Amino acid sequence: MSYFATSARSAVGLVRSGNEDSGLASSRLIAVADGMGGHAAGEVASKIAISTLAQLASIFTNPEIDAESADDIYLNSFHEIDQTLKSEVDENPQLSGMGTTLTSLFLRDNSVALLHIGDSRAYRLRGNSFDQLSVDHTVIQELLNQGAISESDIATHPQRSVLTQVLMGEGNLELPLPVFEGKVKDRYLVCSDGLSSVLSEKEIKSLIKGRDRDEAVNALIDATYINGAPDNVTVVIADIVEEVQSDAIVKIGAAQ
Amino acid sequence: MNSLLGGRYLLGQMIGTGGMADVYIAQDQRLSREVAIKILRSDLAKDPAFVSRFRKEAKAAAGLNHPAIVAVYDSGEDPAPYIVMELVSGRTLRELIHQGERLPLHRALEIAEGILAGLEYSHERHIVHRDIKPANVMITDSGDVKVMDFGIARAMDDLGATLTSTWNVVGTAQYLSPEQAVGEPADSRSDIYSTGCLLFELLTGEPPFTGETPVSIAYQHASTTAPLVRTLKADLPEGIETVLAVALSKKPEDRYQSAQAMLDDIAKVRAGEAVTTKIATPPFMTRRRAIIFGGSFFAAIALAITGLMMSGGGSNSGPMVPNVVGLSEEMARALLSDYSITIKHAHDAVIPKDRVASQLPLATTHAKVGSSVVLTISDGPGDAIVPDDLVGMSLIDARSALTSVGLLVSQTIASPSDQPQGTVLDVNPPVGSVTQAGSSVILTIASGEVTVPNLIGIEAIQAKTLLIQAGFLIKEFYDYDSAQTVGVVIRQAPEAGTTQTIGKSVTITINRQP
Repeated sequence: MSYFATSARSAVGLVRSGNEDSGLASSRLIAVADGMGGHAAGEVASKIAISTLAQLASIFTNPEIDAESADDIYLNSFHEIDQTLKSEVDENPQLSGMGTTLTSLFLRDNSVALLHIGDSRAYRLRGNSFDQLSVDHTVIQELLNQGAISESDIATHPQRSVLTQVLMGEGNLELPLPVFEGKVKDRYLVCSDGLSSVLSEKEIKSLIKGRDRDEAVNALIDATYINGAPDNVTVVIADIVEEVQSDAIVKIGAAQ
Repeated sequence: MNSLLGGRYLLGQMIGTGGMADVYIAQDQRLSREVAIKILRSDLAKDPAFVSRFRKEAKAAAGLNHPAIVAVYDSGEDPAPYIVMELVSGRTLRELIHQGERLPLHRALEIAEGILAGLEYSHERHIVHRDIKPANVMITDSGDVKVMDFGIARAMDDLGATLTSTWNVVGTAQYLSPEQAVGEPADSRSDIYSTGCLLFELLTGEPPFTGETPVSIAYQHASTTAPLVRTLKADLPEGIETVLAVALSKKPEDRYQSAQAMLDDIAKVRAGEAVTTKIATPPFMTRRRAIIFGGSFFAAIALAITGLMMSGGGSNSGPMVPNVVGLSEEMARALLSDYSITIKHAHDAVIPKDRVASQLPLATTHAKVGSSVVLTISDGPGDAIVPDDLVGMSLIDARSALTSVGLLVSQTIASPSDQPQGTVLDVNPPVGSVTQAGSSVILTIASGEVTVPNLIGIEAIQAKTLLIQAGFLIKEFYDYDSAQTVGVVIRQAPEAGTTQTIGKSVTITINRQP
């Protein structure tokens, strides 16, 4: 069996006054959610995403469950989150319009499944190669896919933060579940855009390579602060190991 | 405020606030003259990349000396980036023109000529304004035109766009050129386009593209041909229709290639002569406010954006709620006159005091006419409490504790102690005190010698992180060495392996292309 050994941290940043990010770390599942929609609403949305995922995790990470069912329940957790967001808004109309991103990795045997919606990110460091596993659901990513702009234009693009898909209780989403081969010694990173919009992929790689997990998490957050930390920043790092290190499910940020 | 800014400017009355910066009248003690000083709001001045860009732009603008340009005399950075400008007695075009109102033809042309004269001069010096819009054009009390904020205004708007929440893109998209709308760099011809939009508005009472959100306007700029001006106002001369069609061409190469060329054609309109400049593709008629996308790659983007806007509504029908984040309450109420408004107040470190910090439902969602929209008005940056367990922590842990509540370590003072080096001995402001979120804290730490790590050849951000974590402060410089990788540290002082008192500065030079 293989497990995630994790380290996680969420910080407010230097400009925002509340934390709308939530994160989760456990031996089988890591996740980050970036809420939006006014102060309280954003916190509520990301917290709902992480808490709902954590509840379902007790089912789909159960070793008794067959692989296909586990993947199915994991994938469909976004419907459950979407439903919960909707009923929360129905009960509290002042939360109307709230939404959240969700980027999560589920480790089962030797495979890592990515559930992803919005512009939070998942990366993998394997040996010397550092790859982004998730594809942003943003207008800018679509422009990039179509070759209308180049990577170097992104930092200055006026619409860089406009999302095309997000969880907001609409019930109209269809998501794929890409599955990657997981190897012992792989290092995975999920983070909110408070990290990935402040540091380049090259910088992130230089900060997480060769450090132990806690040091790497601190280095990433320190580096965003050096660059002004304009947004909440949440970072979860998971290494694939052969021995389970902790059974706890750690929740951070608004979901804490 | 009695202290002298930059050692020579005595700040007087605040005469304006632009959201990103405040403007004061000041007395220049050295030259005994009155000046205007624009000070970037300190809560927005924390991004080092932005501050360095602001500094560069201010320096470039300081070289411009022309009657149609508000002169920049000086700039500085302490306590926040500021620019010292010529004090102009007058009002901005934005204050003077009201939506739907037209100016007489000769006055509109005069204003356009003033702007173009300033642009011709600055473009010759390779300085692009990048944000020509009514708020950046001053009309002096004697009626002269003066363009302000060369290069700087757009830098501020970009900062705003970075800092505002997802979806709520604050900024003026109405005068943005197509190339800027898709994120390509602006050049002098982008200013020609924006001037065309402005002249269009002066002549018809409305800019060529209007829409519910900045995104929809930006994409109209990129993909929809501007309406012919005489289809809106038949009384305008034929020549001006050609001038605007050329200036508002989608491709920069189809526009006037210089401000002077546009000036020449405006002179012909004034003289009643025919304007013979060729329009690249004859503009076709578009219904105002209709977003018609061509067969280009924008079609897919249009779908993506339309999908986003539609999905915002779900089962609710009704018009799309416009973005009001960043606006004053009064402006927001005017835009949301179809809805019932509820006002709340909350602290917000990003949006300046008394402006809309958030709105629910969000912009681009659909809401029935008469339904409720909740606006949260910013009370300015919120409070942060200095954590009370800092004393005795290591420097690294103290930094983590402070950063997680939104505070920044601005300085460390090393003091002899029997505690392990780097241990926090004292904190200012003291632990438990309430301060503004995003503000700085000074730590007194146990002195001691720390070995300076090797930083040569290391990625800049990693080097900075190593230094901060070792307990050093950073001084950074830039230089270019073509033999080295861009972005890495090429020099450091003191050298690796030497020891230095904890809390002192280490200087690094980062390799950057000139």
